[in-house]
Amino acid sequence: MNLFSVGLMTFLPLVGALVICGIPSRDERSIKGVAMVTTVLTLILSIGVAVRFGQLPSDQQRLDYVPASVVSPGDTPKAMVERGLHPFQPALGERRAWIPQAGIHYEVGVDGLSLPLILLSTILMVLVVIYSGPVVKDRIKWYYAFFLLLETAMLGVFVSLDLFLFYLFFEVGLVPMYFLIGIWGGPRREYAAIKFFLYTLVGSLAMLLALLAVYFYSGGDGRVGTFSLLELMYLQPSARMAGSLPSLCFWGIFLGFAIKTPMFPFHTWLPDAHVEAPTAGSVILAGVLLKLGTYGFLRVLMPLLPDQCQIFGVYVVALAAIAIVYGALVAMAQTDMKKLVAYSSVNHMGYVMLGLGAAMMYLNAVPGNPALARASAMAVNGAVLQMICHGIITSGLFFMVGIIYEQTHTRMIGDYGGLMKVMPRYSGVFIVMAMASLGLPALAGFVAEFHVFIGCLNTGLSAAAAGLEGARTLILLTAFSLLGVVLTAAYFLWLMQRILLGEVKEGMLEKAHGHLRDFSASEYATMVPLVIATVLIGIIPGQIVLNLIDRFDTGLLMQLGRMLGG
Amino acid sequence: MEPNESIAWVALGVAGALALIIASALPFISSLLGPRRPSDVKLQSYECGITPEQEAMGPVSVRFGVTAMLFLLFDIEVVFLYPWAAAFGRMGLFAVFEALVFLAILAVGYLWVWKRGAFEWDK
Amino acid sequence: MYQVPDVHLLTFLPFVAVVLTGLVTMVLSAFGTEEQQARLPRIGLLGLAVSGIALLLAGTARTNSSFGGMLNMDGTAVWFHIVFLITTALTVALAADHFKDLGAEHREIYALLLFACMGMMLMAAAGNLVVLFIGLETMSVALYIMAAMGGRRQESSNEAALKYLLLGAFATGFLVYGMALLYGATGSLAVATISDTVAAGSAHVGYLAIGLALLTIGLGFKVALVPFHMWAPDVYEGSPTVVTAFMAVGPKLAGFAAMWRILHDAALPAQQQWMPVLAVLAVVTMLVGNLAALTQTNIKRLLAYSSIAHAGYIALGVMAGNQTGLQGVLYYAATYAFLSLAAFTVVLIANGDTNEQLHIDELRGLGKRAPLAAASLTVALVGMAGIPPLSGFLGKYLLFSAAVQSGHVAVAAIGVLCSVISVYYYFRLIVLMYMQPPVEGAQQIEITGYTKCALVATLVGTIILSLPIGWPIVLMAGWCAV
Repeated sequence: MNLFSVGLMTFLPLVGALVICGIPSRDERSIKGVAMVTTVLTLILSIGVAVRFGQLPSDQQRLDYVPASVVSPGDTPKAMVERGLHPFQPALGERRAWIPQAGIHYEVGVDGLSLPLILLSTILMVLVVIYSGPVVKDRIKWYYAFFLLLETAMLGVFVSLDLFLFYLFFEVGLVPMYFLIGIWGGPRREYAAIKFFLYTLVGSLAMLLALLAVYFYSGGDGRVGTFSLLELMYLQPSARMAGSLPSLCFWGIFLGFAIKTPMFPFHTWLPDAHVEAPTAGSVILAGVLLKLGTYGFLRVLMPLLPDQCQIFGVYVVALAAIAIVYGALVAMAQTDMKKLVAYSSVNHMGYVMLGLGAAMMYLNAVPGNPALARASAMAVNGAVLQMICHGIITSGLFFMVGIIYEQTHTRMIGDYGGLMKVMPRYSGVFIVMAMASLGLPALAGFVAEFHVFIGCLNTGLSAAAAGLEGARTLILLTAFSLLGVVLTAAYFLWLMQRILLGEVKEGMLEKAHGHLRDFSASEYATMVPLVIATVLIGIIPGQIVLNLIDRFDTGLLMQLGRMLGG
Repeated sequence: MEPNESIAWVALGVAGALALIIASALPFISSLLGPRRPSDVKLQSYECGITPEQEAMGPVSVRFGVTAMLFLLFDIEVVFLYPWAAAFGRMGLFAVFEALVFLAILAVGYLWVWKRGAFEWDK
Repeated sequence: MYQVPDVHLLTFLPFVAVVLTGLVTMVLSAFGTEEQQARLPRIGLLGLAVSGIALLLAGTARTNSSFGGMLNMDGTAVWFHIVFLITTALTVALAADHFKDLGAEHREIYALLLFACMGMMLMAAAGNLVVLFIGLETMSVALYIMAAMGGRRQESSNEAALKYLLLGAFATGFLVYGMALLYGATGSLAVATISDTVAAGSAHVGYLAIGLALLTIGLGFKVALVPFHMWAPDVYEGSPTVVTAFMAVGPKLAGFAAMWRILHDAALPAQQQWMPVLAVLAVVTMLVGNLAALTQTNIKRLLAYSSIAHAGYIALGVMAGNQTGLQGVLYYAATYAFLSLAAFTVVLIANGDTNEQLHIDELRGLGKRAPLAAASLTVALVGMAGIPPLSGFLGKYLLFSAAVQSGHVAVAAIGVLCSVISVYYYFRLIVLMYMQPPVEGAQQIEITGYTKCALVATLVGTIILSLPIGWPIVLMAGWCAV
């Protein structure tokens, strides 16, 4: 058994949380120490898993890898699954019986989609612990315990290959986040915390019902249903559903992930949660938790219900286009920095959904149309890359807002001015992050957005060339979304102009007791890795993540397309 | 629906209707048919022939209630012994044992009630 | 010659242990010295423990029917019995701390609790409707008295007891009439015979339907299904909190056990008749319970409405009537017992010895004033809301999936929606405890003795049910398949 295993990585933070629970709350040094050690160890484990994964031959990097020895001649994985077998043996995966009577297994694994997100989570957690050290002083025992619990939940979602397990982790993450917002948050924390909780819960319970329906239809004829994602992908139980049930399932699962993402019009919890959450909470919320939604679209919704995805993909694209432009417009109108960054998240997650939606629309045409396949894959590449980039950049921006807020205790843009003169290094980093967010070439955000837009346009164009339905709509919506890019640039440039440039505001200094200090050591340690990541992804995206992602989604799209009879 | 079943339904309905009619009619029938010659004695509340000394709705000591309850309890429990006695001949030793258990539990209850002073009027 | 029925002492022992302990505590509460009377809780706990051991033996026994089928000690009964014994034991522990200052006339609570426990056990193991009825009455009469044991606040407690007595007697009427009709329809009171007659189609359809309806109404009162729930909030509020804690768990679950015995064991072939009725009742109960709980400011009333809502969830499992449904009912029964008792224990703690009405605002800052109590209440509330990984989630999952399996997707959807609503009022309490400062002049609360043991026991129980989520179900599936 290799030390760098998926299971160990996932549950190590939980162990850390339990250890912290056992430490008396007076012993703050030990608590912080345990939190630091746990997150760093988890990071090391996740890197180890990534290295192991990278050494695998490319066919074994797929989750539905079936070793040749398992399949007898003339048999196919699909036929085996239909006979109730589980032929898949992903290289880093694990599968154990858990509640076999109900078709529930402990089944985990990683692939090119989950691995980058896992690394993002483990890195951000280390940064969060570094940042929180000098900042958080109230009830720090529970603070770190909740963060570590949250880390297990996040990693658990990314590695789960069993829908029950997936749902379990998906929900477990809610409670620590609720408390993080509710106890360590801003003035309206109670309202924000309960709103966050209720919104997400509505969605995830709707999803649970849909998943239950899928589960029951995967069984039948005296056979227990299955929650295994891989089996379900091959079984396609939705084909056996009658009437409007498949559509209901689609919208149920859609609602769960759309609220989490959050997509317009389900985004209204996000600004409240972000504004009231403590800085570290906002970072994890924006950096990782939002990705659980988009990850779910790719990992659960598309493999489970490809048919419905194709039917309803155009609505996803339309909602994404609205989110992009609407999010940007609302962000522009904000006077509160944190709220501005929060709405920029709505806008940026819109790009992710745009890419995914475009790829959903023509799944069955992918196998027979290489141009379309390439374009769709590019759109999904962009979407996944955008998840990573948004995770890095927006986290950075929230850290930046938090760092200045700790000194001045105001987030109002109008209270700031001329920061460049007082805090030059801070301002430099701020500019890098804001520029990355608005999509300046050579920084991370640009690569992702570029892929999304080119992917979507090309998908639309090749679909039009093939005479497929809806191509015009897709092209028009993509073009409309481009407006969002301009608006994004506008609000970030305007933000920088207002807070960094100009004369130093007297009130700002007064609020900070006359003196604003520049970066401290822990703040450097927090921000430097993010800046490096932003620049590196911007310059050499392929070597870092894009090739990995590309292998994943080309495979996925091709497989779904074949399943739809393309 | 089977024929005999529908007849049973009718029977149930008829029985219910009759009960309702009779029960609601009786109070009115007596006031309609009966002769009315009221006198002071007749208007008194009925106390087994003894002249009442106070208002009928006046307060009554809760001890009466307790005594009545205890009587009911033990009286009814003893009623259970009748079927036992009737079937005793056919059931043998097993029935003796069962009745003993029953009586033992009853006796414990009796002792408890005694000790807690339910039989004393002036406690 | 009369056939002497088979008596399997082993299957009967758990009852004997409880009854004997009950009688001993009753005698001691009247005749015992002060010293002996101080030991009553310990005697009660000992008796329950003995009964538990006997129960484990009974669970492993080859045979599960005794007294010619009057008692049916199958896996379902054993599971319910364990839940009842634990519930009673925890209540005895709570009473030991909170009834000791109330004076001599309250010492009978231990005997009453044990008798009620015996009644509940009879209900869960009933193989005959008469046994079921005797169990129900034993339990109810004990409860009527306990509801009146209000100590310093006699008035509301008396009112609660009277209300409970009147409505309980009313419900019993329905129950007995229902049994009579069932007898008329099938010619038997034995559960197995009724089932056979119904399955053979030789039962009178009309009487059967009316009988089942009346039985459902009667038991609906006991478990507080809407629209038969009106007594619950008032009685829960007025009764002493210790008794309320018991009342919200034991009789409710016993009612469901009885409902399962009647609707499933006796009348499963007629499921098409009672299923829609129960579906409607479950939906209305979940909706009314959760919506009414939203506006409560008295914590006991809030928990009362929440317990009504939980009755709605459990009714889903009974309605489905399938294997998943049974697993759901059993698992949820255990889960709910621990969660609900934990919540009421914290209410007792937060109330101190005042026994006054507790406004939810008085929970403010409990996280600082009594960290253990606040943590327990948080676990209880999060569990009741059904958030994973706590046991409430798996319970609800089983119940909802049983409903989906039986074709009631819309009903399950409403249940899910209700769960979301419940989060709002449960989490409002968490907000008060952790996110708001204590009331002026509020002091640290010390938790000691039996109460602390009870609180820790509920926590441990919840955690055991939550963590290795698999094993209770595996165990149960094995049992109930017998």
